[in-house]
Amino acid sequence: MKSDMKADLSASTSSGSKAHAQAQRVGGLSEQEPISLASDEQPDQPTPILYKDFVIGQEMGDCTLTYDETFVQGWQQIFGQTALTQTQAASVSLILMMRAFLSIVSPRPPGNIHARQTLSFSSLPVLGDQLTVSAACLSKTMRKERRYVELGVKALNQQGIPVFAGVLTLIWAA
Amino acid sequence: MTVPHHLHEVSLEISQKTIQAYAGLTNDHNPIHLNAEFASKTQMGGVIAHGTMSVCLIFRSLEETFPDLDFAEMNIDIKFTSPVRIGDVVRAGGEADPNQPGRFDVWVRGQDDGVRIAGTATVAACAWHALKGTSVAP
Repeated sequence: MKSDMKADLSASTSSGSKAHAQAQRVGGLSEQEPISLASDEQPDQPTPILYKDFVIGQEMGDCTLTYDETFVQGWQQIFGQTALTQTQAASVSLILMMRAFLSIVSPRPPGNIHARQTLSFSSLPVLGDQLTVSAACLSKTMRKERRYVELGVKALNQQGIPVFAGVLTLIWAA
Repeated sequence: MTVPHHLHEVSLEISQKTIQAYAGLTNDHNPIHLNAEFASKTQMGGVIAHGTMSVCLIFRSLEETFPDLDFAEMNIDIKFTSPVRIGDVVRAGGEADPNQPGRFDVWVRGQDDGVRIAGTATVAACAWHALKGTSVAP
């Protein structure tokens, strides 16, 4: 996989600037103030969840979030207004997944890195839907002195209908 | 119906404000995204944008190309191969996999054409055939 990517990169370098000029620019923030969302970020705590604390197979909890207009407005501030409703729904799903993960697995050491993401949609949420996202530790491995943690996430809407499932692969900082 | 081989490319300029706004949306205030001094001391060597922010561009690229494509039952599998930095103008696009209908090799590249994200997006066979106006073989 790694060598494929290198080959892909080198093969496309020559046409890069031309291709870039043809891409449709979207969004971009102006001087307007970003939409303010409630934060459940906790103040620094002395005992963050460390790599050693993850237990493979352990359910870590769940978090219920509402897909509301605030997220749409916040997304549009970054990516621009669009009639592309599926893009918005898929993007907000991703955002809710991140919010849920960060709420469930907290506090964390600073400096974690998102290395890989899989996500399978079963349906797309609509405004007003409440998504309950659960997270579980699927694996943890040391590779090249990096601490890899895989977390499985699943989201159900308020009717218990699956919305998405995925795996976050993270390089844990400590 | 003829299906495009290349996805429509969309781009986004990454600024500190963009990163701050996305941090607010996701509630991801990891200092590797927001604190230059902290980030400079990590293996990333400086502030990096949230990886999932660029994934939103991939969704947009797919829908811009196929407005009638049903995202339900779509799968993505992507790796964040290189960091996206402040000042980058990233663009998302992709190519159809000729060997697997409904599957696309998707990517996000920087202004230097370097790959930042690479992976696949796959739509359900029924959705793909509906888009093409064909039926799925039983």
